[in-house]
Amino acid sequence: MNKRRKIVVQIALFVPILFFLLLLAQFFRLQVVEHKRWKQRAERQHYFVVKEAFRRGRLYAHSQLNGKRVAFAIDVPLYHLYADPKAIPDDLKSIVHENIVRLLSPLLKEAQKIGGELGRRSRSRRLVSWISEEQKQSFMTWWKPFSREHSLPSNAIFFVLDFRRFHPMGHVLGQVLHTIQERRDERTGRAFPTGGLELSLNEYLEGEAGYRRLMRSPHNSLETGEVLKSPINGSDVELTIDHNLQAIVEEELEKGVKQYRAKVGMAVLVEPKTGHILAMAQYPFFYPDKYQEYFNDPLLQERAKITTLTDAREPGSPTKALTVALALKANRLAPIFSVREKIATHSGSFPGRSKPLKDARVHRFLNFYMAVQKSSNIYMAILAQRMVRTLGDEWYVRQLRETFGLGRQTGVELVGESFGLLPHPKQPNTGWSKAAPYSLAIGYNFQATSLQMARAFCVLANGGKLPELTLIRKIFRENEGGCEETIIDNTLETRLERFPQVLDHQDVSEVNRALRFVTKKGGTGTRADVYGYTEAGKSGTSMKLVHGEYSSKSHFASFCGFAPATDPAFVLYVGFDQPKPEFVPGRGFNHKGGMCAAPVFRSIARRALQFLGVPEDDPYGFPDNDPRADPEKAVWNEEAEVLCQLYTQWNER
Amino acid sequence: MPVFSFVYCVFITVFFVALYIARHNQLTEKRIRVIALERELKIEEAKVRRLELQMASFLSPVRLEEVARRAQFSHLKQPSLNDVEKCP
Repeated sequence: MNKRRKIVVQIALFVPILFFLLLLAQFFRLQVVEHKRWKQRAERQHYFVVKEAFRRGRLYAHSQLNGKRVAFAIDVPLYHLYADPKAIPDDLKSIVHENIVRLLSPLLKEAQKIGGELGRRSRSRRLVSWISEEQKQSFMTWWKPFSREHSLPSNAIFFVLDFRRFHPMGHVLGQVLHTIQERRDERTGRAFPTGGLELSLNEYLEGEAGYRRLMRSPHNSLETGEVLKSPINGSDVELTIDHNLQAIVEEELEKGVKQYRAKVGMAVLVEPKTGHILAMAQYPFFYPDKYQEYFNDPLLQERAKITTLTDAREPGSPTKALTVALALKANRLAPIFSVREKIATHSGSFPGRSKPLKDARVHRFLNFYMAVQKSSNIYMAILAQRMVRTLGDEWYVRQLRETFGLGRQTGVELVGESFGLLPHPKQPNTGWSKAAPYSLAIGYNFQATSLQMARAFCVLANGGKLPELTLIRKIFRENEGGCEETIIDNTLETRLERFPQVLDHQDVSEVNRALRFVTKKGGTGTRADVYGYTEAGKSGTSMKLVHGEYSSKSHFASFCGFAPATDPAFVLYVGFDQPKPEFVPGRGFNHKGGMCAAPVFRSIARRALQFLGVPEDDPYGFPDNDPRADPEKAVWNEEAEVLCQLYTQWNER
Repeated sequence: MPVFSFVYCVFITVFFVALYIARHNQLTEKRIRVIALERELKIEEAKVRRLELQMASFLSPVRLEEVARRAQFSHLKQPSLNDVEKCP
């Protein structure tokens, strides 16, 4: 009996001990073995992690206003309205719908979708985009009592903060800046740039989102949250663009395109010493804030493109300035001509050409200065012939590439830049033929972008140095200590030392001397004479290829030059695509570069020089009806008069 | 005497506990205030951004050029660098 009792007692003791041991084992499993898993689950129940948005970097103009940087694009915090359709009973959805439309006045397209979105079996649907703080508050004053009255969860309708990129200057620098799409990547929160600098500098402008952990609580969490990771804002970019000059250029370009009824107008303003692009304009304009209108319409898509950079075309006569510069360079290796040499230019027959070259009017004899002033095709072809005969065609093409950067990208910080096309003697499929050098000399048989032509003229305005073009002065970001940390700096003197000396200073002076005659009496670009200032430049009108043939109705007119002539503040390239050919009595055809692009060059140059505060270096160089005019004292008038007399002497019949 | 000591101890303990609770309440109150202030700060920051945008639109060079062309400003001219005197 005692033994049995002893066994019962032992069992009675063993069972609870076993039970206790099992409990202990379970405790060990939960607290030690699966500790991490259960901790994570508990944290998920008690806490939630919110993403902290970063600020996308800003694009600033180089110029300042009241000592402050001027931003081309500003991110403004706005809200999106979301709904949890499952949490709203069907009979209340129509009331919610009505009140959303009444209080938030969404766009018609969005308003039509709200009903459908509320009907979906989802926990999160975006109903209205880009709502202001005021609209949000007015909606909440209706929603809070409504949700209480109908016992709806207060977060059945909720707002999500987002940053919208606005361009306060509207169309100013539109094509170059571009923007970001309204919808971001849902997972990463990253933006989708639509093009321009927003796309090419995206890696700098993008920041990194931060994370903050908050406690769930029906009332107040009493926690501002533990910062798991601070958001890193994107880097800011200071552009080389002067927003005032950009506005001036755009305004004058718009006037020009409308007046000469061109399809597209473009202009580039470059500081030759530094290669900094001060303005880059195009008309018709592109408004980045309305980007959807442009991308949804095939006819408007072209306006979003930076034609200055993407479209290469035969530039025509401005190339003659480059031809004469190369001839002078060739002269240093083997004498081929003299600037005062009287060259016969009545015959335009050259080997390999099926048709003889012609000038706008027949010139019997020309010298270097007259040829540039009158834009003689035959004289340029003769120089090309002499260069090729003496130094070879490869030397000539190599010089166009290396001295002026033709056929090479400028390297400006934008995507989609064209290389242009420069034929090579050893590559016949590039368009090389026996007659190619004569065509190259007058700006045909090769293609260059407006930016490449502006860079080529920078060589002439920069004492023979080929600058690297850039749109960026600085890229900087604020570090954790609140100090500005520079990532890229294009303002350093060391950058300028890298520019290669591609032409002799003396040769450049000679070319510039010739280019100064272009805007004076007897020149093709008299309408580009900048009142009050000296200038040098070259007009051009090239026929466009239409269905493989040069069209006499479709042209590209341009004027490229710099001012002041002696110490240039900028190089300015103005181009008009397909100006309407109209005959103006006493002047000639309106579609010529000297007729349509030259006056726009004048307007832009004068206003830009005045804005920059450049003192007038030709204070008597005004039109005859202006009280400030004095032809005897005006700079370069005497030289132009002497050249005219010599021209008449050589060419009188 | 021991009763007095006990009461004294209880009194002291209660005093410090009350002090602790009051301090805790103050802290809680401040934490609630911080949250409210943070919300206000966000609203103010958003306002500043919107004002910045308005100001930038107002001072847009396109608009300023239009204003500069008005008759009442026609007597003004852009100063040349020679006309500008810099204070040492």
